Amino acid sequence: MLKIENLTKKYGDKSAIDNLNLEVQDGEIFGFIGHNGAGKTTTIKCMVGILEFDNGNIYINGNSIKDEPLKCKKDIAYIPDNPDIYENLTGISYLNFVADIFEIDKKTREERINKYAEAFEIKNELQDLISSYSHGMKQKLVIISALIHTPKLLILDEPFVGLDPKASFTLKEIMKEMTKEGAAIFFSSHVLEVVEKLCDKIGIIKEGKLITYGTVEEVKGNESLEEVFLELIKDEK
Amino acid sequence: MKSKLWILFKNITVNNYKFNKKFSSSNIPKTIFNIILALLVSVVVIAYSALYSYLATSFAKEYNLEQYIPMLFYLVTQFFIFMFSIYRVKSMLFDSSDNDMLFSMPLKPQTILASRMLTLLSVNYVLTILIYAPSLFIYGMVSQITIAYILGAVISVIFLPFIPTVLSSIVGYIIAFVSSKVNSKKIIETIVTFIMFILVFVGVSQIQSFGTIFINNVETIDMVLNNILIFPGLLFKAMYNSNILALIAYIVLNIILFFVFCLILSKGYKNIINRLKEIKKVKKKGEVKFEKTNDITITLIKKEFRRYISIPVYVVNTFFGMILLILFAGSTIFIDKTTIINELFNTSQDAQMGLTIFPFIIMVIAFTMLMSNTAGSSISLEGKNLWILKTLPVDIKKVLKSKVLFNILVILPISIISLVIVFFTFNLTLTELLIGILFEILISIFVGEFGIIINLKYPKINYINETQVVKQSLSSFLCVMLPMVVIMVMPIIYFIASYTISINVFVMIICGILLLINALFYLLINTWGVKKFNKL
Repeated sequence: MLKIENLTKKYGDKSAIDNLNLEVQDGEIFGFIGHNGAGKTTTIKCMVGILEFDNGNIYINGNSIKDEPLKCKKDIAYIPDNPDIYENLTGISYLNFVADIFEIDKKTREERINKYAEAFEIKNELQDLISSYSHGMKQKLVIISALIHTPKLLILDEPFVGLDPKASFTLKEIMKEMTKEGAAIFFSSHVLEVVEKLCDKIGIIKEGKLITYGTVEEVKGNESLEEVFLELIKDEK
Repeated sequence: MKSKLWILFKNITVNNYKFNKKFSSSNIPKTIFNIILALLVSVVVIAYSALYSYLATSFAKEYNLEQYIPMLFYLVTQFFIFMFSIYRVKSMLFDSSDNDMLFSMPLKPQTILASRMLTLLSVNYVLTILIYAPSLFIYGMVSQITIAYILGAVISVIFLPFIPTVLSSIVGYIIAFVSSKVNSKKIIETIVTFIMFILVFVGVSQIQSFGTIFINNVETIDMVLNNILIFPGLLFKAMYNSNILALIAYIVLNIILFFVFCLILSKGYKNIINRLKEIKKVKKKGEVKFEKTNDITITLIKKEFRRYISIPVYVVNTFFGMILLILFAGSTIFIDKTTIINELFNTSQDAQMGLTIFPFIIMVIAFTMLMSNTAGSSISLEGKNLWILKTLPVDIKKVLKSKVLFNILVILPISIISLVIVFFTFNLTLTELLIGILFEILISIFVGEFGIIINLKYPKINYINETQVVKQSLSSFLCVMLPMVVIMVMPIIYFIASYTISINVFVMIICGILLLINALFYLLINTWGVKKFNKL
């Protein structure tokens, strides 16, 4: 579903991502971890077509994000780390807006919005202005908007930040359900326990380079993921 | 299936103008006030436009040139739209907070750009209706009009903003492109925008002579309309010669120009947006500079300064008056003072110079200082960061005082330097200089305190971009417009009072009034102001 080949992204002379390669298959959950400023969000922004990159390529469902961005974007959904959305729309207007962009018919959007709004316990607030929402409620709304078109690849940047325990649980359940139906999930997180339990594959990024990549068992061996992560990102002095 | 351009435009408009906001009993008075204010401003502008077009049409009728007056207003309106759009282009096309969201959706960059251009265009219809439409109506009243004229008039109202919107977007695009290529983006953007505004200001000052050229070169007007100003030329043919083909060509060319522009500029659109967001990286690690401990007020003023220079539109909007003042003072060194006096008062009597120039200088100083209200947006600009000031162990009085002091620092030194320059160039007396400095000190305090009070009364904390606060908020509008009204009335009062008192006494009385107002504002800020700030 997702294939990143020799991805390089530079800011001036500095490489934010340096020759990164990885693959996520259908039905897999991939956890992307790294310390602050390691290049996680830049990688994600390149994947979803927000940032252009200098070298390499990213393929989503066999299509290149460089050459066929619209095809790729129809297959993905992106949940950013900061739910920066139209504050002066109501929750339902925002969901309708996203559904319109993804060309979802009325019946389908109604079903999906009802299903996920009930799951995230936000249905009664959908008529309110987004500016009146808390951070967590905005995050829930962005998650629902990402699920409206049943994406083949769900890309999440720090999705659990701001969510209450129940919403976190609901999101994890939805992620598992989606992978059962064949979708792939790529998410970045600092919550290593969640990554360890939820993911099939893990990648650890440091200063723009992928330093470890493989199944959870391959990466952590007999140690905890936290121990492995701290060992790997230690500065070599 | 709905067009994606329409979906985007509709949602952006609903979001920008808060059409979803429910009315509650608490915000009804504010809404009524806003509507009355908007209506009042609209009526004044329409009245001015109608009056000028009536005078121009009557004058032109003597030479059988009245049919050119709507065209003249067409061009003037396009010029105003161009001027007012330049500063909005950067925030609407490049700085929107929805960039990441939209670019991750299955939308073409040209669709995103076109939706924003349409948003910009929709705002410009307000100017079209206020400035251009009255001239069409006046012409219709004084001349015999045809169906073709009415049809052309309606069509021209629809398409008039297209070209200036495209041109201002090109200028905005160039500014953004240049800024995105360098490290000191904000500085370059501020400088380039200032240059653009000064050019526009010079252009506005030439409008009167443009009218004279227009009247004196009747024979060349048709040539210009046919060969240079192609769009108004086609419209002219359609309206007055009932040429339907010209009307179709006018419509089609406007639409093509608009969408071709969107298509061409969308090529590098995403890259420019992303490059503008890039922040200069520190080259060497470990170069951390620790500053010595500062007094809290100084620290807060430094914070105001750093934020001020990081928002180009804020600097351009609040420092333009100071630029004008320093240009005026500087010009008195190089331009013969008799020439300036003659230009200003239409007199060649050198002997009157000393008597007449001081009130004018006071007016210029007051006008430019009142234009430079940084405090009027400073609380709104805290926006989502307001919590920082609220949770700091700092007395709110100090926070508000620092914003007033910063405004004083921005305007007072330049004002005093300018006054000292004109003191020498116009041979003012020492008394006039001292009274002038006292006036400047008091008015700078007034500007800062008034700005804080108005901003506390009408804050705009939840904004989409800084331009909304600096250029489009009620607070920034009132901070400049209310004192301006007072300043406009001052010469009339002085004219009446001048029979009994001298200008020096008059300015001293004004200083006394300002002192009283400043003291009252000080008390108001320290009591009501602190409470209001805590409630934000």
